[in-house]
Amino acid sequence: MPEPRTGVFICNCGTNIAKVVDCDAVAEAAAGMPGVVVARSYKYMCSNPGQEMIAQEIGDHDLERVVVAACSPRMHEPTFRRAVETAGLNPYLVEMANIREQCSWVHDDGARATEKAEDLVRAAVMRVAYHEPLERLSVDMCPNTLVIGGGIAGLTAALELAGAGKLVYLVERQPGLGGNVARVDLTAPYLDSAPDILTDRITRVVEHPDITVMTNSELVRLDGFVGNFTATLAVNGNDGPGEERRVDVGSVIVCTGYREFDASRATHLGYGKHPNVITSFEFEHMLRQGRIETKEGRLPQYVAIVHCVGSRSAEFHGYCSRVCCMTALKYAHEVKSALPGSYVSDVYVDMHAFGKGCEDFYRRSAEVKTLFLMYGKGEHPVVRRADPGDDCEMLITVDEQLSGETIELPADLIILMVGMEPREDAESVTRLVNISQDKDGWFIESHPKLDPVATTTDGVYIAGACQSPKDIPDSVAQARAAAARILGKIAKGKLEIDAMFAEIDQDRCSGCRVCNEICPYSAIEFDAAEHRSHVISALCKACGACVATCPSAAIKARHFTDEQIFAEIAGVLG
Amino acid sequence: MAIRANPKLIEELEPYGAEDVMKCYHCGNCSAVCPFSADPYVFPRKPMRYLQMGLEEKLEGQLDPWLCYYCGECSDQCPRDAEPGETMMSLRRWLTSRYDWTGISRLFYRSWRWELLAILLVAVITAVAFTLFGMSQGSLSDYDGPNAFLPSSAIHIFDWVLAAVLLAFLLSNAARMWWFTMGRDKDLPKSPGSYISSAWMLPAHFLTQMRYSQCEHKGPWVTHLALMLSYCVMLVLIMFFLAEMASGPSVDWRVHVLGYLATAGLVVSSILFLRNRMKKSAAQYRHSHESDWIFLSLILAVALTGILQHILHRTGLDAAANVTYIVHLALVVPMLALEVPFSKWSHLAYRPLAIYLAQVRATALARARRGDGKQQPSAEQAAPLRTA
Amino acid sequence: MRIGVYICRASAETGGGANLESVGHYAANLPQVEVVRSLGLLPRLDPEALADEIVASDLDRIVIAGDSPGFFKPAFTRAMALALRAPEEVRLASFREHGVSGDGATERAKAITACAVFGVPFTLAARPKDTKWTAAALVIGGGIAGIQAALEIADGGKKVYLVERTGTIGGHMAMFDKTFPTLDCAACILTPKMVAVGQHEMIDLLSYSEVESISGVPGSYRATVLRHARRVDEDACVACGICSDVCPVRVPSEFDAGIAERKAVYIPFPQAVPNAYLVDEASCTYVQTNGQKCGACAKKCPKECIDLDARGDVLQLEVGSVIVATGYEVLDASSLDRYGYGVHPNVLTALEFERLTNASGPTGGHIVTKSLKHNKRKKVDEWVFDPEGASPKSVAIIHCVGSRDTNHNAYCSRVCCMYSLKFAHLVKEKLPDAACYEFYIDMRAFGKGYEAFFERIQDEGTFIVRGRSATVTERDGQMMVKGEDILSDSVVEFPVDMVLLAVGLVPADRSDELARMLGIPRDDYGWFTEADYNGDPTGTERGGVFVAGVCQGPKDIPDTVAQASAVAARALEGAMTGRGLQSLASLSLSDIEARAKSLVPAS
Repeated sequence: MPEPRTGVFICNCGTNIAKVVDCDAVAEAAAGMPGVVVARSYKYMCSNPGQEMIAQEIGDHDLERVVVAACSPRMHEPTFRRAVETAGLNPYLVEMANIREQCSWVHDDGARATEKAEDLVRAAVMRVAYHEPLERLSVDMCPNTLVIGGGIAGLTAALELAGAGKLVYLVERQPGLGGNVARVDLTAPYLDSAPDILTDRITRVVEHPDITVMTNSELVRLDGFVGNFTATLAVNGNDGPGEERRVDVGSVIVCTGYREFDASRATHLGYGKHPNVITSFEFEHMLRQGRIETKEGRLPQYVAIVHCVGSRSAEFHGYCSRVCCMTALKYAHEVKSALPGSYVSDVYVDMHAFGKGCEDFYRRSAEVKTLFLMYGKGEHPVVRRADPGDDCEMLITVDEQLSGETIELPADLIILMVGMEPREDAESVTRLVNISQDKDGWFIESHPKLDPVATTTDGVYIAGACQSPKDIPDSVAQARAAAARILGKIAKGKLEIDAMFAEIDQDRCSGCRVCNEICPYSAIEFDAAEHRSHVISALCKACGACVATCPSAAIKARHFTDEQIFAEIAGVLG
Repeated sequence: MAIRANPKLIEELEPYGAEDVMKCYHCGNCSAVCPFSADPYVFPRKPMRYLQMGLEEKLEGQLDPWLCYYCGECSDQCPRDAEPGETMMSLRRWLTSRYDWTGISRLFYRSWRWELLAILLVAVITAVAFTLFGMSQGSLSDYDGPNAFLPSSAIHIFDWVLAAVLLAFLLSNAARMWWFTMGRDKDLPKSPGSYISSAWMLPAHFLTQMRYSQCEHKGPWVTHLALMLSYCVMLVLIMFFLAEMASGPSVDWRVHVLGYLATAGLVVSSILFLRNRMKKSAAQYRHSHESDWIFLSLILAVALTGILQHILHRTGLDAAANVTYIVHLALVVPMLALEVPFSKWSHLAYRPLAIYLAQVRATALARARRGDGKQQPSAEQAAPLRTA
Repeated sequence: MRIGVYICRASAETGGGANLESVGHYAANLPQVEVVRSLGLLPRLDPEALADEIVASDLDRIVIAGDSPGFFKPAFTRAMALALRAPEEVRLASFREHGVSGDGATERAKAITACAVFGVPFTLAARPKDTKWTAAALVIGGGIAGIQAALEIADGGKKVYLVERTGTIGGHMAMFDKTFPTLDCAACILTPKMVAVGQHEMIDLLSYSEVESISGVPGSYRATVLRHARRVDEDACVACGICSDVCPVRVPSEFDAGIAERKAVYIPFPQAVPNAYLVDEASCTYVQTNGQKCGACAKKCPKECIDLDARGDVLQLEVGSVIVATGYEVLDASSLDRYGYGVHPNVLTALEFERLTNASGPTGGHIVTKSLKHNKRKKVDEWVFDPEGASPKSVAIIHCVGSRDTNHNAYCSRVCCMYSLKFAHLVKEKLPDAACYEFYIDMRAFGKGYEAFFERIQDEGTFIVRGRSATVTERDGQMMVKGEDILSDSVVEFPVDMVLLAVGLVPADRSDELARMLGIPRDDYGWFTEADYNGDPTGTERGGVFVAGVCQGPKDIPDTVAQASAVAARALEGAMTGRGLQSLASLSLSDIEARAKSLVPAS
């Protein structure tokens, strides 16, 4: 086997690794491995001095290969690739051994953990010997963007991109723009006019020369890869025969938003059974009409608002829908304003008044004498019809937490704060643009903290409530974040694509097309004329599925060759 | 058993001073800083909760408001300016009006105009009545002696009659208090023994207001004690030694030294309270209900007129003394007749009674708990017990 | 169309300083305005009466003008319905919400009212003209917000100047141990970004520097940056640490939130960027004695890159956009005496605990109580953290310390609930036998995956007590925590060995100066005011000046990062097109009036 000059660098990750694994011992052991000419351990390899050390050693020992034993490659592989690159080594000639997540964090027996670390390092050393220098591809970046969804997030994203003079295709399923915000009258906590917010944006979008708005339309197919997508759209599909339209875009922003929870599922609240139990959106309609009254047309004396309908519950959605608490407080104010003589009570679990100005708003709704009753998470307030003698229509039975009493709350009108849930078509969207959903059905971002708008598919971004419930300001911020990411890419013009992808040996390919079906990234095309399949390298994520299935063993995954993998296994087995 | 919430009750309570209670968001800070709040009487948060939800019967059954001395710690620390202390105060006013079966107390607390009017009415009647009585049997120029304008013997009888009437009112109201807080509570185990064993608390707390001294700031307790002791001393003197006090040109110091101390006490303490309320010097003085002003002013006026007539008489200006006496009576009678059973004065009676009943109740509950073997959760366990 | 204008105020505190009288006169002269009425402060409105008025003066559009007029809209909408008029014809002229404040308040109020009268959204009519834009951007503050914004812009190939007050970027996030709810180690996800900033060819990192003044107009600002004397050559220093070893001075370490010491010549933390030491002139003996004493570090430095006599210098920058990302500070816990912070040694603030439980912290991540040690130099006994110290048997975590409290900060600090739950997890993870209590008011677990995290903490056996603890006292050497356990209806008082205070967030100090320098308003609590709460949460009154992260209002890391990227969008637009929007103030009343008129939908 080849024995290129290899350098091994072991990171202590502060104490993350060192507290279990004896890093110096590992370094010593590594020094004796085939081809290793230098092995060193250091507190923080990812720090500047750490990286400089690597560069230094590459120069001093003219290393041909580098192994870094540290955290998961997902964390720092780019860092160390950059480091060896600066020292003039091909970035693919570095291999990482994960001795943190796969060793120090999961073991407490120091001695044996150290042994395992040594095995992992040996595996990396033997694998890296077979690495080949690879070159990254560079592709053009198409400056146009497809925005899916014409709600507040989509409108915002479109305006940001068009503001920078880039073409935007805005696709909306509904006949009109505005999404769920169009159903709202005022916004908490400052009671701004939602119609004004939308009119402003919609007017600007519609008038903007660089934005093509397509309502009653939807995406039916997305081909290509980051910077070079072709989107097939069914335009005006909902009325009459939809004409199909293809547009070339470099990026896609998904802003498909949410739908409200179906209140009739929470049977104990009697939605659909009692005419005067309504949802928050139905109440918004009443507000806009200026007619807050019972189905019988009477003015309600007692108005009750019930929080967390479908949210924070074991049987429906476990998550908090984030906006309902503030909306409920808004209703308290609005009812008091429209019906000065009425009594508003608010049945909640925890009051999530966390945003700017929200706690003040909460205090003010207490000052206007809203009665707050607290029920326990996972418990059911139960709605029943009142008895003839009562001065109210209905009674809500609540196990009131703050008094420890079981309370019967009088109500003539009951507003259910229905939570948010993913749209029914969310799943089909994920398949179209090749992103994934979490257990609750929300689209998954590439990093929950540091990359909330990107996804696992390059060039496809998510913004607004389709990623998880959020209010207008947070949706607007995300929409702009996505726009920024795209503008950055456009500004650069060219895109670098990772050099790791599968290649099909055209001579050996029998054109059986098994790989076409198997590829989860639809990265393999079939050339009918040639009767051969070939890989769209920019789409390929080097998962290896095709490599394993190809009956004629015609497919090779760069950086995951059989030699490399066998060597790695041999290394682990010592 | 579910209890019906009554969102309207808060409106009934507002005239009694409960204006900020709805602001409370139940952080529990007040109950934890209160020096008096301890199981099984956790307040002020809990009563505030009952009030917010309008649980009328629960509130009527509460002894907690009487266990509060309004030291103001809770209000000072309240993160929502919900004024727990003032809320407890207003609950005491409301309870007083609930204990009172005549409805007069309710009338007074809800409208100071009515209270003032009643006082004026009683004052005028008293003045006229005593003037006519004086005219009928004595001369204005004689303060004492055979044809004194208002002979102490006569006044003495009047005192006793009045006292009897007031006592009747007070006792009947106290009985209602017992019924609301103990009597009608079916879950409360009967324990006649503890009524006797705790009986000592009644006089003890009445005379010393000892619990009040547990507040961080002792000032209010001292003033309060001074006021209330002076008041009692004066009461005793008037009820039993009126003759010695009023008559004779020679001053019998053995009798008068107490009288002078008491009047001084009344004047000083009532002025202090008035001053504090005007300056809003502390949490418990920030909010003054009209009844507070009326009560203190009455006390002060009574004391001053008392002193004045004494001086005038001792300096031989009998006619002037008699006139002042009339004025004095015109103030004393409404103060006693209206304040004692129907207004602020009744605190003096209800508080010790509540402390006593609270003790009885607690003992009963504790005994019951031991009875069915349940341990009361000790502080350390309390949270674990629930969350575990 | 017959229009009625009602002027009222829903908030006593502000009012914005607009002369409502003259706004009224102005409104009266607008076309089609029939009635102008002043309703004053917090009016009690009776919809029936209003309906009669509407009928009487036969109005078919109502404009409610003032601060937060939305509070009165439902009353008017119902009145319109009762009067059988179109209920949607109630328009809001929101003064406070559209930046009515300071000088020009009255003019702005008039413009807003005019737009409402014409039935055109103010934000639509009041769009400033665009102007030429300098490509480079200035980012103030090197926390996660500043880092993210800088990287977004620089990755677009545009120039960024990142100005950081301290010796390193990273901000508060670098001090954290784990981050909720995913519990990845903060340093592990942050350092790659820090390194990227340090290495980025389009980013000029100006650490240990402050913006002294900013002049100019949107699109071409001229910033004067004061570069403090680092006294260590940033590029030459290899962070070997010899200087620090020989330095005799010991002062509390800011990075360790004061629970550990550093030298006068120091590096904030090993992964600091730039990765170079610096001399803290306030504590350096040499500097304080004008070179009379010490100077050991300079003599010992193998790379001879320490110049203790170095002077700071001033830098002039030409930029188009300015991004403010100055973050926050935590509330000074000693301002609440009832928790005994500073009195009882083992009452810690959130930041102190972050460092205590951090593997790179003074105890190597061991959660221990302080031990009494004799300090030979000062010749006093003092409470210090010793890795070998005893670990607490019980820990109480108190929420809402100085937050949601009108006596301190009335606002919610948004992150405390979640980081408190995280603390509970860390305690349980490292000390499984320790009892852990959370005293809370409302458990605000609102974000993606937060609720699930809350449930996980409960399953781990932490006692969640509904009721904010009131006092921390000491009884014969034992700390006692007292509070009401509301859900079990009792006042609990029990012994604990360690108390963690979930202190709230307050604006970074000197943000008032910055606000004045940039001409952007701040809210009642000192946070920078955004241009439009819903529509433009990251813009400001001033064109080309943007706010991102906590300096605009408390928020957690994901929301901060989203905002930071969002502001980058605007900066990139300017840089790519060479044009951008001027300040709102650049529009005169007549400009806005005219534009509004032109936008009136043809009916």
